[in-house]
Amino acid sequence: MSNFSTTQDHESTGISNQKLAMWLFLSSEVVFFAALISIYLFYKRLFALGDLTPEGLFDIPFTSVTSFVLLMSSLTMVLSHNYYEIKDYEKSKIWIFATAFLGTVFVSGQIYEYTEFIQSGLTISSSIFGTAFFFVTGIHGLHVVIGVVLLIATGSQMGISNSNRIYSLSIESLALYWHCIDIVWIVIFTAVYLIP
Amino acid sequence: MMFQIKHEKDNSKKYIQIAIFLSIITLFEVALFYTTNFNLPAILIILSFIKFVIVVGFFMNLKFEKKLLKLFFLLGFVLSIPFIFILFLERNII
Repeated sequence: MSNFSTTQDHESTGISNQKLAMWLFLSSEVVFFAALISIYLFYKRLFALGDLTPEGLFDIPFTSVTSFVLLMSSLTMVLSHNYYEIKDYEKSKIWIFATAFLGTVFVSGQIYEYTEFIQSGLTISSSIFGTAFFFVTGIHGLHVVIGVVLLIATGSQMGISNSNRIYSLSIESLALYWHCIDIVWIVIFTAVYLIP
Repeated sequence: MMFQIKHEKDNSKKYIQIAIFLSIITLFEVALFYTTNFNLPAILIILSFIKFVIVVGFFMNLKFEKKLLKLFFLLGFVLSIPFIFILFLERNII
């Protein structure tokens, strides 16, 4: 057996380095999105599109459904992690792909919403409001797309390797990342769509 | 305790209960949006904060993690405060 497989990472904190790094990354994500949402709220009222106001543009029932889909993807992700912890790898794999599917549905909904807005005359360059809106929701959407790619990659590799420790850490990190995307959307949905 | 997560045991039922609770809050938020204007932003901020805390605490398991990780995550919020403060200041809210 090679030395690499038996050598443990130096973990003076009692927490795995990967987990520690992941939480630091998530903390930086919170700061990043707090800045983005602040920018949106700051420029929300700066638009010059006649009757096109945020209230008139947003389709709240539709966005509520996509928000619900993302919330449910958090459930499927936590179920995948739960089944991995109890070593039911088949169920864990199924729920990981279910999460990827729900993430894809969310992104599809966002693309549909963007199409509607662009047809109404709101583009990224039409007003400061448009720039701020597309920037905040677009950066979040990009995070979801990256998450979906990572979910599919991890789910596809789960049956190939038997290295449980590596996958346990990967799935935990992936789950943390996915839940972070969800909590960011919880704030965006309230701050961008619901608060008048 | 309402939602107690035990590690290395099947907690799927608990997670489903939490998800149902979160869905109800989301439904309530949307219903409020259509029915009332009374202190709407304040109520919505409180409700989304509750959802935020539940996801971080139970789905991300931070409630059961070591203090160092809790501090790391809290650091993000502390660093976000200047943005919110500047926003309020520029908009003459404070």
